[in-house]
Amino acid sequence: MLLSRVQREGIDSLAIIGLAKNVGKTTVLNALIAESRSSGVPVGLLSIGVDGEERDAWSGRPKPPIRVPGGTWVATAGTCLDLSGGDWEVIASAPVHSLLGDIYLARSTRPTQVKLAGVPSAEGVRTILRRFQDYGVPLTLVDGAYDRKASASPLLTQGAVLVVGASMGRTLQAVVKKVEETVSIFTLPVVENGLERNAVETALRERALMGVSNGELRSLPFSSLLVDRQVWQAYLTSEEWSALALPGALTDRLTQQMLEIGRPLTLLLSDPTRCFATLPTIRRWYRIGGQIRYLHAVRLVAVAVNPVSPEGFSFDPVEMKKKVQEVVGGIPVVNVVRDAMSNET
Amino acid sequence: MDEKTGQALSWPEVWARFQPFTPFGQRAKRSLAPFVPGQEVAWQESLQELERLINAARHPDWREAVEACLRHLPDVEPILHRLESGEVPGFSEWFQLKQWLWHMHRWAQCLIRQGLNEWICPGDVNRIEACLHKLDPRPHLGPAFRLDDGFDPELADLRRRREACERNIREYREALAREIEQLTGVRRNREGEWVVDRRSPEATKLSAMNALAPVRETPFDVVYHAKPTLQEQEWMAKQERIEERIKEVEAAVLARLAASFRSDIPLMLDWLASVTRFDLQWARLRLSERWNGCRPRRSDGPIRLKGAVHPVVAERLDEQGYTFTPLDLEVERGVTVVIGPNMGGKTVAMKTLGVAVALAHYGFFVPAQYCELPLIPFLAGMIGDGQDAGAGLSTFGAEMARLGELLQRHPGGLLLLDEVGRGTNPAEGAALSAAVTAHLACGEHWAVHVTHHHEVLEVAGIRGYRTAGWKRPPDASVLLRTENWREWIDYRLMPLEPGDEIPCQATAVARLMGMPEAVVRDAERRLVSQRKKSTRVIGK
Repeated sequence: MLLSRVQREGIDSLAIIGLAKNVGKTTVLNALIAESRSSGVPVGLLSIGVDGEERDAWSGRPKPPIRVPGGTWVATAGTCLDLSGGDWEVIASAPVHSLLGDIYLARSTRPTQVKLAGVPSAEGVRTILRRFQDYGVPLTLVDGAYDRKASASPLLTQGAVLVVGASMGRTLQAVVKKVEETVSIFTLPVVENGLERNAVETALRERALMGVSNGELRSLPFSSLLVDRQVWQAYLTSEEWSALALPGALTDRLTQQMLEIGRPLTLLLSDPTRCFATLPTIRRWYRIGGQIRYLHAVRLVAVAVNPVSPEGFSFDPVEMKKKVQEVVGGIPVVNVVRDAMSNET
Repeated sequence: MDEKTGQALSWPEVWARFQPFTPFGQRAKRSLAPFVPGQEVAWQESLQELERLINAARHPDWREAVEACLRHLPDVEPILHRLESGEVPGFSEWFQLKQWLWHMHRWAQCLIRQGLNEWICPGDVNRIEACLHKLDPRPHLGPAFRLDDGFDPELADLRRRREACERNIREYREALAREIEQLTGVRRNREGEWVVDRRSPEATKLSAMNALAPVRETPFDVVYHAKPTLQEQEWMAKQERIEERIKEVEAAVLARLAASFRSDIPLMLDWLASVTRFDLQWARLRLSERWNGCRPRRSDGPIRLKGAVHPVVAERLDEQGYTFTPLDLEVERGVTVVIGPNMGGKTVAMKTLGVAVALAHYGFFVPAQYCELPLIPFLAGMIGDGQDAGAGLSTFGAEMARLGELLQRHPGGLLLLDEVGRGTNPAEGAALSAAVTAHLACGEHWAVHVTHHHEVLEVAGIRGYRTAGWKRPPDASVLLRTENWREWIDYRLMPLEPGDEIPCQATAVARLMGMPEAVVRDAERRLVSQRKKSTRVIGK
């Protein structure tokens, strides 16, 4: 079972992230909640972004409700709790605001349904995770908004489930390719070298570009690579840099500009959620001898596949699972709708 | 104090440092009015109250407990008004009300423990507790809120019946599902559905079962669920009826709660007013500590300040590694003239006076070692460039228009005038400056006039100060080398003495500030020439 795998790995906060709209994130969330009910482990729920509405923010389609057993903790707006007030015990207010109002921490007194008001800031998510921990909630599931990988940041949550669905592309091949790209980028290696670790830690702390040259840590005279390209390109060719730590994100454009210099070096990032470059560009970077490393890795607990698209088409579930498994290596692939048949009573 | 004066005194920055903890405290801050003449007793009582709080806050544990309560008090004012108008608050609003009562109870206990009964009386602690009990029928009070069974015996009964129904349905479904699984060998998923490959033999088995119905299909899978039996439908219908009744009873519980609180509303609004006032005083207390402030004493005579500091200017200087020179000043009705070299601190002295007086009027302890003053009807400044582009007036015109208004105001207030007449030709400017000073000298304002015009010093009846100025004649080359020109200036205010003259150090300062040497030398030559001419005129 997915939940028991999460618990075995000692994870107390898990992000559920989707690679497109309508991939089936809520179904995976409900599956995890259902497992929590049968295992008797209460979970905490919070949403980052706009999830929890009755309709999908992008497609306008009705969204499946989030069903919770008794004893489930949620962080949501008071207006969402008012809908079925008798089913809840409001425990505390959190100093966090959402578009739907102030966020409260509440515990369900019986099986019920809930809307999760999206918590708009990373700091807000951190605050709520801390509060849940203070109340002894053993695992919090963070429902991420469409295409927002931020909730999977290791600085926020300890692990992530990647949800991939038929709605990501018209052909299975296209979907599998996208999964391969994402997982490849998510599983690039972490920084091991002490000096490089120091470089990226300093870059993040001081929000500045840091470089490693001739075994020495050096700060660059510009805070980002958004300044005049020729200036920083000239600077980077002026000496033998071996690594460059970025305080922000790595984009395709930036990687291409690094490729123009033609000098391979190791790009150091905070974590995979800061890497927005596409796999083909990253491959070109590796081909010239460059590397990318993260200070913090994302623990991908599983990849959840959904072969059915709300557009009305679907893939062969067995084939989809097999093809996805082939490209994600040792990460378990689950189909929460089908797999349960052989595992649950 | 008008907006222009406030801006000139950096009052918005001072005011921004005044931060009550609670949302209602923040609201009250926006409409806070200064004490005005006639309110001397209330003013001193408020300051005395603040002094008592400051003394009590010296106990760190007590202080921490009080601040924790203030930080957690939610904004219940709209809820109280809704209750007052007969509305029934929503579920989460009841939680807010309980939170408020919970933390008010703790706050009240803290105050009673310190004997601060002017905020809330011991009897009110019990009344708050009684209100809390209305929101929590359980024997042990807690801060959480739920529609507990204890609110209504019918609620408890209905919930038991609903649970029994749910259990029946669950167990029935479970038994049916097990039977289906045994017959077909296909197991359910987490949703209680059977998902099978439509090409598999299991699909044939499932489709043949009357107890199952397909709910959705894909080209690859068929998903079945168990059709509700008649027995199950009966239970579900019963469950639905119970659900509806539960909703009605829950709504009735909340309506009864609202009705039961209606008689408490005046009392709760009083508590809210009390804690709001306390929050404002607590915010004043924190500023007093930050500024090491002193309690302003009532005076029926002059404004006296000793060791006064402009808190914003002092903080800025501190950031740059400099220290604010505390100000000693006495201002009586009439006019007080301040002279001194450029950059000697005259304007800052005037702003410090203005801020100290304003803070005192708003019931603050003043950033000074000593402060006494009468309550003054108004405070107005003419500091800096008053050009009113919108009105099409020049700097000078705007200044004269404003000054004309201020001079006619009655009763008199504190006027802070920075170089009257500087915006026109020197001769007329000096004449106006002296005339205004003469007018103020026998008036009812407390006027402070910073000036460079020596004609002002000839006005009879003035009192005044000069800034101590350069510690030695400024030598630009030395000062520029050290880049610490502030260290060469003594910013203290010294009482004006007979024979004191307007300092003439403008060219030295110009040189120090980077004016081209040739220009400064030319200016100095012209000065010498002017002096010779005037000597010749006098000698004729």
